[in-house]
Amino acid sequence: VRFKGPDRLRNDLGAALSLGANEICSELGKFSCTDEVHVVTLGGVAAYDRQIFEPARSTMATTPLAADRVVLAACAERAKRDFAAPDSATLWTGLELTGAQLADPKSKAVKASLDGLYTKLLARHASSNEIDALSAFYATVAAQDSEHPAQTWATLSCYAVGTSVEFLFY
Amino acid sequence: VSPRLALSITAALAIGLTSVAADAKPGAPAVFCATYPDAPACASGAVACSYCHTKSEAPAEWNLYGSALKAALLPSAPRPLDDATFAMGLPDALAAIAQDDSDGDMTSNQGEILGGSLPGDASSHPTEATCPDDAAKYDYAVCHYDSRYVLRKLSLDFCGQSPTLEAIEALEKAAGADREKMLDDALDACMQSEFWRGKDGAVWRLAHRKIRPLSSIKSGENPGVIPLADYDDDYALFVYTQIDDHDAREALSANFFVTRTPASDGSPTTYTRVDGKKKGQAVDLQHREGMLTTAWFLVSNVMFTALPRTAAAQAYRSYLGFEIARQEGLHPISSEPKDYDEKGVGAPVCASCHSTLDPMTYPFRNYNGLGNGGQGRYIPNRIEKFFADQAPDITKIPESGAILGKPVNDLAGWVQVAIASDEFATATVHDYWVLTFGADPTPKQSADYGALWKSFESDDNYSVARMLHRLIHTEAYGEP
Repeated sequence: VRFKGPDRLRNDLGAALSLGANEICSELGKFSCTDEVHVVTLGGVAAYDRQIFEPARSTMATTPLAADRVVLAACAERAKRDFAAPDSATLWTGLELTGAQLADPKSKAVKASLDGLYTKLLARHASSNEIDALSAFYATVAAQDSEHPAQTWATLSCYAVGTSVEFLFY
Repeated sequence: VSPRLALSITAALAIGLTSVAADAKPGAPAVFCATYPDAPACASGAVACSYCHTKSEAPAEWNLYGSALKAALLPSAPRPLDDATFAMGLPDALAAIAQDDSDGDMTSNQGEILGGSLPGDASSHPTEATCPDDAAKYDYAVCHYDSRYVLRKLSLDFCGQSPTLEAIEALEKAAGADREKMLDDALDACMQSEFWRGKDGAVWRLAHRKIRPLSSIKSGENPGVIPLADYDDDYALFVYTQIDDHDAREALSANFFVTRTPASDGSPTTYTRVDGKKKGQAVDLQHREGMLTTAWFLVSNVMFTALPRTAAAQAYRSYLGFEIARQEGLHPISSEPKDYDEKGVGAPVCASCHSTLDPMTYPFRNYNGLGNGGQGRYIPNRIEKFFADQAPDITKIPESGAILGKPVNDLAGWVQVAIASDEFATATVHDYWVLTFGADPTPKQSADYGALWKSFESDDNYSVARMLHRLIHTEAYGEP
């Protein structure tokens, strides 16, 4: 398998999470993670200024850190938008909340959102085991985050799938 | 004896190196690869000297495999062997130790050579993924061509993003022949994408190491602090030759330039031939040779030098796949190097490469880089006009030279030999192989790879697009 590298990672996250190229991840709010700051670490090139003409043939020691950074930023952005404006949500849709908590982590809406997560990120439906695991994960998150447990769970569920071998490699 | 082996031996026989140290045998890699054409070590054109040597400069030293080969090579013939005798005897010596295990790692030399490991290194073993007895439990048809896997791979390779679930489901519903067409259609669509053909797209990026851009001396759009030449013209010409069913040989033989029109209103980036003059390009029509005579290539590789060895080495590296600094692709010419410019290249440690490099450079003698009022131009008698005082014999540098062991009259002849060679086809296909696989061909993939570059120079008429259509239907590409 091959790591997707910066362009494919950006494109796939953008398509799956309905984010523009400049909305996925940036450092200091200005510099693109995938196109500038971490481009070489993620397997890209920097030909014109840094004379790096070819990508590394294998991932580097810091590639996982950069990939984590990008996926987590994109997932956090999608969750923030969907929870801030549920009516225009694109991924986390129809979730019933009690305050900042999921009313029922095993509800149909939760399962549908999780299946949508797999469909968008991995182009396949989630298995029942996968849905059960992420539904159960909510309790772990809620035990540690009393302020925004539902949004944090959504972010980390997305992060879990988005940092899987199946998503990052092909 | 295969035609390729016969040619390699003939070329080696023609060498007759008189000025090269007796230890150095630059023709050996070519004879080795002609004997083992399917060896993965030969996939990119030439086996490295380190395959047999721990040190290839005089006095040479050998690894375990090289030592065994040396012992098997015409053992009764007096030493040192001349190059012709060496080349004639090498195939038999290779055969004599093929079934031995020189490095004692329990795999025969031939097994290692064909298996992609090093026969002179006990820590190197052939590795090949094994196929499961029952592949049914996997998502893909492991070890078999899987069109669903191919759709995902080609979408990511050529479009830069994964296919949608809907596209995958549509493919799964289609019958076999329809699936093939769907894959071809998907590839065609991807090759129109900006990810593939646009500025900084996949094909554009393939050209980085050939062009070696440097923004601080760029002219034209987004100029640097010292604008000398515009490499955007080089990228446009290169991409043009690689897309839309164009002939990839024109990367070297084009006597035209290309302009790029960025994508707009849903239309992809387009590239258009410019047959006349182009702003920033000074070389006259008669002396244009594609990527080798652009203003950027000449400015950055010739610069202020009389005999621009860097230009020839960069051309050889970029388009024929040989890194001459690693002693790849050596085809020494008898009585070379002449060392017209008195750089000391006749020293034994230098001559083993410069007997190939210098005659390969002579056809560039009249192409000017910087200075002398002719930036990026062909200037007849350039050496005589501007460099005559640099060395007593410097004006004797001929415009004729040699590449791949074949004599040429000028750069046009140089290019014709280059683009007609298997090395050009191999280097071009190798670029795309590494682009899509991320690695050199494995032993298991070598048959597909060999068929691919041979078709590229015959049935595909050097069209990268046709070659890529062929690629996605290979077992190598379609096996998860």
